[in-house]
Amino acid sequence: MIRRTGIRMWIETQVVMSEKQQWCERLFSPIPEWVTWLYCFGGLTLLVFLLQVLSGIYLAMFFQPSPGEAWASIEFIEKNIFLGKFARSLHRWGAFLMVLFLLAHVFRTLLHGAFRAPRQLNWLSGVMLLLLTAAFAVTGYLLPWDFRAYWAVKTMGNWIEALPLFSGATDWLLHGDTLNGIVPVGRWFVIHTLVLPAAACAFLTVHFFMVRKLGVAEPM
Amino acid sequence: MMNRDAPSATQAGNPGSFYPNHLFVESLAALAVFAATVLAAYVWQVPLEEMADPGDTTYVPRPEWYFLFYFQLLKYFEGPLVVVGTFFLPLLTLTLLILLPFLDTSPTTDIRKRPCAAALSLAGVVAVVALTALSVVEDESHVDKIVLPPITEEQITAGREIFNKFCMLCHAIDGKGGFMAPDLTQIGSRANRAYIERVIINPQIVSQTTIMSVIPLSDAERHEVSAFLSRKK
Ligand code: HEC
Ligand code: HEM
Repeated sequence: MIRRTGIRMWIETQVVMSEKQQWCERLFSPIPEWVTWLYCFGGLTLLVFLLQVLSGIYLAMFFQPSPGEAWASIEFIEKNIFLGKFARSLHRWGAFLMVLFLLAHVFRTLLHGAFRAPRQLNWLSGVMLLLLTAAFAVTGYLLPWDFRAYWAVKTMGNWIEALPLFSGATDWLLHGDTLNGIVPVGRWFVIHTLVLPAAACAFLTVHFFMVRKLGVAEPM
Repeated sequence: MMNRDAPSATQAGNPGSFYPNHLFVESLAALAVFAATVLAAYVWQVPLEEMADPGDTTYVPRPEWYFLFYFQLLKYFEGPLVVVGTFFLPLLTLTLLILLPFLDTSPTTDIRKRPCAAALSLAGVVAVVALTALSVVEDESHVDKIVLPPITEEQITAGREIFNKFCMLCHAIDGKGGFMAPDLTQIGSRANRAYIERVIINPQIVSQTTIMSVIPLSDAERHEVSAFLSRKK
């Protein structure tokens, strides 16, 4: 057994929950030898997600979510804000790595059959996180309101318009409900910085609770 | 991180402990990733693309690498089949992902004893990698840019005449002309040449309900007008 130090004792007295003892036992109790580096990818995804939160908060402080100002405000961030260009690069690299680690993580769980009973809920919360990550990527791509963003809206609008009942989708995406042609950058901004993070936190809570409860699955 | 009551969890062999053994591996990986990300962000700073310009056809936009395979896949769905690629296929994939725990109930996790699952996953991975590679290769060999001849003084003079003949009815320039359409006196400072070409070819890119008609100009004539207008700053 591991010796209980002062800090650990303190943490134990702070975490007031009936499962307290169990939580600590799980944290410090033996794990099977087959837990290898392959099991790191979920944690790495979390790390990068946290990096995204930090760099994202910094960028959001200076970003102007309106079509007329979005691009200029990013240019301003890059040129005039302390570490602005670095923060923006960090956010982009983070997005890249988050997808990479997430795919590795999903592949690992697939390979190990970790989606099966009793981990259905673990898996389903994961599928939601996958969808949310895609939504983060898409809405983030639109925010600078540059060429690529304009083109992305056009492209997705065309896809939606191909469905029955959805004609006029491109116009709606580009102009919103306003007639004066204002592009709803603000709407995507709110989704990207408020709605999606809130949903991600909710599903991450479920995800981690299930990992805690059931442990990780055996490899092949 | 293990729970002894978890059905599939066995404590075979020499168990390490989450703390410090696995936590050590995990922290090491996290530290490496953190350092690498910060370094990458510092060394390779991302460029800011140009501001949204609805009509620039010389620009070939690409999605981020992780969506490339999907865009490649969509190239194979045409006409009425587009909906299959943009709607039904993603829906089917999502449904499969959600139902997976309930479909695959084999008791073993041994991949060798699950040939169907193994074959399917392998096929999926190969397909995604192949589509991504194909997309990169096709992008490099096929860049569909409008090729514009360099601007000459003769072009500008000829362009002014064509403009007076076909466009002045609606557009004003330097205080002369119609007022049914935007004044184009400074068009060159708010739009580039490719955009002007694009508007002449298809005026609807400016607005779906525009009254500007498609004016039948030859390629050379169109290049002349666009040369003239792009110099109006
Ligand atoms: C029947 C009238 C009409 C004629 C003729 C016409 N245009 Fe237009 N054009 C318009 C209108 C109206 C618009 C504005 C689009 C809208 O909002 O409907 C426009 C928009 C444009 C724009 C985009 C302006 C901007 O600020 O984005 C360009 C460029 C242009 N026209 C070029 C031309 C050229 C070149 C010709 C001659 C070859 C021409 N037009 C002939 C009516 C006309
Ligand atoms: C924001 C995204 C995500 C984060 C931060 C995250 C994090 C984690 C972490 C830290 C673990 C512990 C074990 C490990 O690291 O391998 C885990 C387990 C798990 N994750 Fe995720 N995850 C994410 C998304 C997903 C997705 C998209 C899926 C699947 C569609 C998924 C399915 C699972 C499953 C089934 C387990 C249990 C693993 C096992 O029992 O072996 N997760 N996740």
